[in-house]
Amino acid sequence: MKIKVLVVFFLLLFLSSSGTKRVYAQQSSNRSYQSFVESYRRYQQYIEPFKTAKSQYLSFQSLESQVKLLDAARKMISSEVEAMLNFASFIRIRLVEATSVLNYNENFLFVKLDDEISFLSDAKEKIDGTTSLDELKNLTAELQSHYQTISQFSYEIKLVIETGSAQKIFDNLKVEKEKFQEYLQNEGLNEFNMKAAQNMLISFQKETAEANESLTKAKALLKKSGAESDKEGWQLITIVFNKLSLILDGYKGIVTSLK
Amino acid sequence: MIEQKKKIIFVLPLILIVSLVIIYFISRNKTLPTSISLPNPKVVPSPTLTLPIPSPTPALDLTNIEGDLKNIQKDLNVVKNEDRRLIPPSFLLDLGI
Repeated sequence: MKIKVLVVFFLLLFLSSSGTKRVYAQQSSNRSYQSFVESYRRYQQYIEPFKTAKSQYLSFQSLESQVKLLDAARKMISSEVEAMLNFASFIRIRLVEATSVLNYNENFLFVKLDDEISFLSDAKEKIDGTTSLDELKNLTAELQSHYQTISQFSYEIKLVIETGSAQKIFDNLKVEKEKFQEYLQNEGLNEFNMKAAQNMLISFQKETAEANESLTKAKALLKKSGAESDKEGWQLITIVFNKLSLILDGYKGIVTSLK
Repeated sequence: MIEQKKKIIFVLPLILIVSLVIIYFISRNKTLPTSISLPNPKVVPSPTLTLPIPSPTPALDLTNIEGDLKNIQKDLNVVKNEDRRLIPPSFLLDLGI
């Protein structure tokens, strides 16, 4: 009996938590982006003091200027890592949203992003412990490599979201086309307007077919990873969005002509 | 004792299902009160025009489509804005020392 009560209790807990997960993810991606923007602005404030300290060190090469440079560099890199961490967290949350809304099921991006977030958290702690400019240089070289990876992930997530969104918009426009066709069956309509609207609908078939073809190719590229496939994917998605905008404007025109 | 408990656990749901079925059949077989039949009214042929059968208002369908297209436009705009947020920002990673 106790076991049954416990099972029901945990089932209810799980159901309620999964229901609120999506709402929480949507709210927190905006908040996460805001955190990133604020941290990026803080980082930008440290750039000029670093450049000034660097120019003084290069001019005088004194111990005092070296110490000032080390301090300015530490502050700048520390705020830089904070901003990168917030950016990586933001793109991860966006990926969570894409997974739940756009039926994206691949897990490898999550795993790799978590690795990068973990590296950045460790790097943050290392910076305060650095005692020389050489140590900072080595750390920034590592950061450069990891940030390249994070940037690559960001572009991949962008492609995932855009492809998924393009598919939804394409499907919705297909539904509207069917509604138009049903509407144009009405006997009460002016025959001239009806024929004109039907011809316009037919004229968009080519755009629809091209959008579908590009979308299919873009979805196939999602399964490959790498800069080249991402670049090709964005080119295809740009074509899809241009076609969808054209079709949407055309449908709006049909509505205006039938009013 | 344990065996008796097991029997009860098995029998109780069975009793519940059977009683629900019985209740269902009872309610179906309830007889209605007899209705008073009225004499058929004389049918007088109606004069003049037959009115057209009203069809679902076309204007409402068009408004519905227009509303849908506005929502699709909003979705398209949201995706375009998303473009900017996911573009990685630049960082100064070469100290140049």
